[in-house]
Amino acid sequence: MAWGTVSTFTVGSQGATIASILNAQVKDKLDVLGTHTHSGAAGLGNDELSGLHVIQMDAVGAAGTAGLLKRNGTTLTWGASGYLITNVDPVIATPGLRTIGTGAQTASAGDHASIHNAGGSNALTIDAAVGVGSLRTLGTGEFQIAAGNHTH
Amino acid sequence: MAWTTPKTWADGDIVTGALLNTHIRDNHDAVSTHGHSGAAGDGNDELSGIDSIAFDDQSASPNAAGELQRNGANLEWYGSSVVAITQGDAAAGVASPRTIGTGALTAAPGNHAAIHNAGGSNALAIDAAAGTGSLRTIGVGATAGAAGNHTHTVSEIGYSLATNSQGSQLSLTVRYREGLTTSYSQQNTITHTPGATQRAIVVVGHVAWSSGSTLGVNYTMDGQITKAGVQVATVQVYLGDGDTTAASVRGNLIEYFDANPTVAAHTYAIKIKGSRTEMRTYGGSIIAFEVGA
Repeated sequence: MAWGTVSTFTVGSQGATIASILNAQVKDKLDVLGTHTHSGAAGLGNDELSGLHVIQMDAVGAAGTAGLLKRNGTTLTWGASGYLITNVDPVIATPGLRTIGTGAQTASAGDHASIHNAGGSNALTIDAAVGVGSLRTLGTGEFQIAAGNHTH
Repeated sequence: MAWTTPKTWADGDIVTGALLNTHIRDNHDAVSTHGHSGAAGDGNDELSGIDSIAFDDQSASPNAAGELQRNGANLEWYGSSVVAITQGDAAAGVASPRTIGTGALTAAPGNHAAIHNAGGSNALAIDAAAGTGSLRTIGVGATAGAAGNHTHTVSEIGYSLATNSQGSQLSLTVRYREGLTTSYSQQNTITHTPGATQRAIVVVGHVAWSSGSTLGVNYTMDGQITKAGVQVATVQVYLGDGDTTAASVRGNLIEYFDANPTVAAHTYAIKIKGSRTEMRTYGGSIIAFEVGA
């Protein structure tokens, strides 16, 4: 049902029955309002929404058209490619939002040196084979290095 | 107020207060608070042609699946947890866009090795305790690493000299320790220039080793004296099978008699090697005596 200009009533309006007036000016308008999409067209609501508190989205699948914003499961998707706006720590080749952590798909914190130290959760190799650069302990073992103050 | 499908009016219908309230007032009330659920009268659940959306600040995060909400200056999403869509460098456990940096909440760049080097903004531990792997400086401290070309001075040296009618008596102490290699490694050199022709230089070398302690393994030691890099004397000692409780230690002399050398500087070296790397050497000393009228 298309929206039509709402009549301006004047005293003594004639030429129409009450029923036709109610149908054209009330029922039809309510029918349009009942399914309005905020396209900005007359009767369909303003295309600039404001004062919203929350948008609660149903999960209806991935977006697939330019400009579409849809919820797919627990993720907000966008555009023709169905870009996963809120994808958290996705597989490495997929762009996404990242938490800070030590997992393969999380981002390392900028100050993460401690995890590379001995005993850290992602420690570098220690005392690797001869010819292989690594962290070294001090000692007399084959793959250790001598302390600076060692004697013979 | 619930939505009622708007009545289609027909000529002759009696317009009652009840009908007007149900089909006009109540439906207007319903439309006035519509939530776009897609239900009749509540607005379509597929909005289209939207130009912009302005959110009021809720000063709180969304907490139900599917909610998109403004919290302060940020837009947040709740799928199964809060996602800070537009907040840079949120708390570590909150997924968010990250800047590249060195802070606890920024992401490290892919080429961040430099920051872990000494002097870097996030350097690894340097010169940690001996049993803890770490970067090491080169130095002589207890937790620094020795340079690959480091040398050692003899730890103890002394001598006493006496003469009698038969010649000279010399007591010499040289003590040091080096690791052993399976190819000849130079231990010490001595250079002597004869005072005149028709003299000789007696070169005496001493080497001492220890075997390893592996039972059933044969340990062989070799020592040599070289003159100008050419072997002129050698000794080979067989230490036998290893002992499981203690390594065997042996010392041997090597002598070289250099008759009538030219009156020039002559350099002799004592060298040593072992058949297995777990062997140790306890000395490689060399003395040159000039004899003659």
